[in-house]
Amino acid sequence: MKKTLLSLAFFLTPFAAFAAPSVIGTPLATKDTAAATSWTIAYTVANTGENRAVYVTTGVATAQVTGATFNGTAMTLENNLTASQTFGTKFFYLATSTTGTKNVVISFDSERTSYSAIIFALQDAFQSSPTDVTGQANTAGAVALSKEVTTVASGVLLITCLHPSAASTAETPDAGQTSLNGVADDAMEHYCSYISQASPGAITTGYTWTTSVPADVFVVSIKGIAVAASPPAIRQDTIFFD
Amino acid sequence: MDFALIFQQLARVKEALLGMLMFLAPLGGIFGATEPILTEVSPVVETKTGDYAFYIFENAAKESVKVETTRAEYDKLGLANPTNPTMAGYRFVGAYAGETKTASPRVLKDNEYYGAGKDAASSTLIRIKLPGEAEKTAQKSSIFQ
Repeated sequence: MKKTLLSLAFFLTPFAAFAAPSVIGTPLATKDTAAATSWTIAYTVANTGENRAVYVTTGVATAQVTGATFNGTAMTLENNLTASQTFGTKFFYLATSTTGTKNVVISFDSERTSYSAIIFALQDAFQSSPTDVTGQANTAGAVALSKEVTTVASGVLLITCLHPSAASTAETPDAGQTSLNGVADDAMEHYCSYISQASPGAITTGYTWTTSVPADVFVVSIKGIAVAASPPAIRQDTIFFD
Repeated sequence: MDFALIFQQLARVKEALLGMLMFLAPLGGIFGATEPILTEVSPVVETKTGDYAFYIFENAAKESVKVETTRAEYDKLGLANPTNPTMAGYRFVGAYAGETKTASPRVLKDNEYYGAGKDAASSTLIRIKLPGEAEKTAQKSSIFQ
């Protein structure tokens, strides 16, 4: 005869997972050739998701870019990738809750007459020191260029940017990568794309194009935020005994 | 004292010296050419005279229009939550600003040669010291190229 009822509850420890950042809104690619020491770009951050961050990649010699702001706040220079064949890029980011149309202001060291930038916003982005790993490769003349990096963090978004020199055409990101946007101009061609990776490990990204020219490829892996895979669960076991 | 005779003798000495110089002059040219003259080029001094700034608007057909503004108005674009300018039929896409300057004119002196095409056939070597650069020896035609 069953006389006693014992009920036990076990709280299962939730395990952490990492959500790769994802692109929100419409990435912007823009350029100008007006002589300037300061350049302002209107950019709209979509009101989507949480843990947002705005990124700016510049398409001008890195030494010529002295800083960037978004909505009046100085952006953090996260990566300074100097080119071997073309003009390099600086990655600025700013974790922000601001949405809507605001201005990015890029400052130059002196008067410049050829510059470009690609601006995009992420959600679920690591809010401080978001870079996981970086890499770069170059070619003195080819129609394809890729770079393998080994990511360390789980749940990352890899941004791959191509800077071909003059007269390249039909720049296409490798399979699996999605184009962010691009600036087609012989003097400051600048294309960026993204791909997410759930688990750490080696991954190769790159571009192809049609005319053999010197080029640089830059890869930046951006960490995602830790999220709970599931809410804490309660398990109840009931044991009957005589 | 016979001054006329003295002047006559002096004239002969002068003629003799000039005659010797005719033979020595080419030797001077040879020895002189081994040590080119050093020319230091003065830096170009730029002086700020003012600022300029332009708004950039774009219409649906991606045609852009630049509208001049002031540096003070431009700087407001970089503040938090700015009120961007508007223009009927166009949207504000950006702006740029810079400085107007005058540069001190470069006055060419002896042994300064400027630009491609000038003295292109010259093979004369000169020593040149450009601002901020180490002294170098170069052909006249290659100095500023």
